[in-house]
Amino acid sequence: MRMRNRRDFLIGLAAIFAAPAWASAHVGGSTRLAAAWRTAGGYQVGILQAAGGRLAVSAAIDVPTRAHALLREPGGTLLAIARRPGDWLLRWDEDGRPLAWRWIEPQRAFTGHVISDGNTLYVAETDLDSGAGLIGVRDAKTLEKRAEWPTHGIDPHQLVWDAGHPGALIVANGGVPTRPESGRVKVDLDRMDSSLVRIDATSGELLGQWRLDDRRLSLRHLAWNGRLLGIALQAEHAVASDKTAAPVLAVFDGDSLRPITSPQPLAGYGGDIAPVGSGFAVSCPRAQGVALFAADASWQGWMPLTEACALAAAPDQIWVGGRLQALALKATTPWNRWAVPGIRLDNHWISLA
Amino acid sequence: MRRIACNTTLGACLFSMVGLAGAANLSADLHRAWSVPRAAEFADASARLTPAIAALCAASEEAESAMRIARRQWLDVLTPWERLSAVAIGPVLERRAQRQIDFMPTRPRLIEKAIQDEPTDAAAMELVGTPAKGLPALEWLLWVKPIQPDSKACRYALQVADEIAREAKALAAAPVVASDDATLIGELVNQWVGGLERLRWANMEMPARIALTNARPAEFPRAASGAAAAGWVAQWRSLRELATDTSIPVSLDALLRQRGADSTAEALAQAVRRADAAMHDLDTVDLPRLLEAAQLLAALKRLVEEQVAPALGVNIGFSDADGD
Repeated sequence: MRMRNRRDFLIGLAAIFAAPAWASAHVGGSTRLAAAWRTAGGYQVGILQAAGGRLAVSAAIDVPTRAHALLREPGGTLLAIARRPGDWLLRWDEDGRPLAWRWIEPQRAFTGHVISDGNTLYVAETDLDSGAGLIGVRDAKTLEKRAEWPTHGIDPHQLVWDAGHPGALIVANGGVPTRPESGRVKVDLDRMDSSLVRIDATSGELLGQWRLDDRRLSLRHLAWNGRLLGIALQAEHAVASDKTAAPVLAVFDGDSLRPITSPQPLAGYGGDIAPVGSGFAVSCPRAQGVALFAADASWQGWMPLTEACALAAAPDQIWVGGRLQALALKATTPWNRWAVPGIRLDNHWISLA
Repeated sequence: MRRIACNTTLGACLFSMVGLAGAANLSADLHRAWSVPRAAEFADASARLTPAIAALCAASEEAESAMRIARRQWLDVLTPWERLSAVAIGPVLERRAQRQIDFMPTRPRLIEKAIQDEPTDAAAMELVGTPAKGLPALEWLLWVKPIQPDSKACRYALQVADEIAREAKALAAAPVVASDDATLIGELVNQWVGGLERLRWANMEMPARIALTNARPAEFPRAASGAAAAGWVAQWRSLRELATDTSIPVSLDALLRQRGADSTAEALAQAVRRADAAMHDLDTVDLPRLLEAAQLLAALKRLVEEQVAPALGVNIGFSDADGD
């Protein structure tokens, strides 16, 4: 069953949001988001402030190449990390001041995601010599690399703490073979090998590895909801119809990994994932909207938004960034569309509310 | 599948008979007008490198002069290589030649180890890793730790030069896998953008920014030989020609005009002219001027991504960025 209209989507959203306490809050009021974007003049990272029906840039830093994910550190500073080419890591503050640049070591590339425990950064990286995926273990203060651990796969993408195994990391090995010299031109997709791995965060030891049966599904973005991990997928099938119909969500319960089908084609491209109430939202920029799934991974609805991609979970709502607009989605109350003038958001943003 | 076989010495191509039902015209045009002559130039220059190194290794009283000639020959190989590899298409991409010939940064420790292993032929060189071979390794052997006549290091340098010449010859002789027009245009646009970004970011702006943020001299590729700026010029020349040179039937300009996208072609030409003016007489010292040139290259890249690629039916826009 398709649910395309606003009313149906609201019902779906209400079904997966649990707590009503937030319902009276003004939608989007005083929200600030840290994001990466592109303007006519180049790439930037910065802060967007929701006010007057639009998301206005309140702080911005020019960066030399595209930034991908962002992280708020325990002390309140922010990290932005490059992807393709992945050469730099930037610490900055909410006033838009760059605090430290860290350049990647030779023959390594950042792949766009980082997490922190306050003392140590764990950074997804690639060995450009071999193509092997690495976790770069870095001092959180100096950003210097202390160690490298294999991710036991290629094309590592997002990594998160393991909600079910304290002290362990979960890493999504995207599994798409690439070469430095071929850029966006993919090669050897028959060699795709995507996997989810559990890694001991003190030793780097491999504690577990899981794969989907369909080897053309790339596991890329991760979000926990309780003890259930949602994984946004990106399909790499050679046949267009296979790609179009491919799932965009898989779930991992700590022991097993399974794809989740949807009742409508989503173009096989999940750009970001966030927990929503008891379920998940998966953005689908190629299908131009956001898919909602319940806690049992059942389909809950679809909200159209041109080039919907960046998702930010806030306590009482989720923010969805699109090409020209953003949505602040809440259950039971009307949501607002916010203009996003003059910038083109990258895949991810985070709420600073 | 249709293959285009090329004669190394003459730089001429013979077209084999298994074709793509007439769909390989652009592919043949591109390789005839661009890849084949560039590969032939590189092969010709590389063939002169081995004798120059051999003369250095055999020199007794004229070692300084032999070193000057060997260095000159290395520089003479560099330019056609930069020209050929600036946009990695055809055999350069298929054979992973950039990795084979131009692995950067070179690894001195591995070079030292390879010298001690004393490889004496092609088979033995196969066992030496790419980080210890290619033009950057030879640059290190000629400038950073200059080889002496009649030494293990000199004999290793000779093997490195020999291997470069072999790969250059193979590139010039490689059959070109013909592809349909859409695939060819997609590869050309993507690899052109990739080549521009390699020049703009990896070779120019990133070393400059690292130097500025770390308050230390910039470490550009080819710095040891003093050929950084020459490398930028050669790469830019290829990028410029593949964008707008009217003598190349498969330039981006020609492809746009064939599709009636004249205004986009004009915008491309203007952006190329602006970048071209900024790329003249760059050096490795005036970093602000270098960063200004890099900004114009970045603007050119955006124009190709946002206007040229869509006009040619090539998807490289943000929401088509696979794997992000």
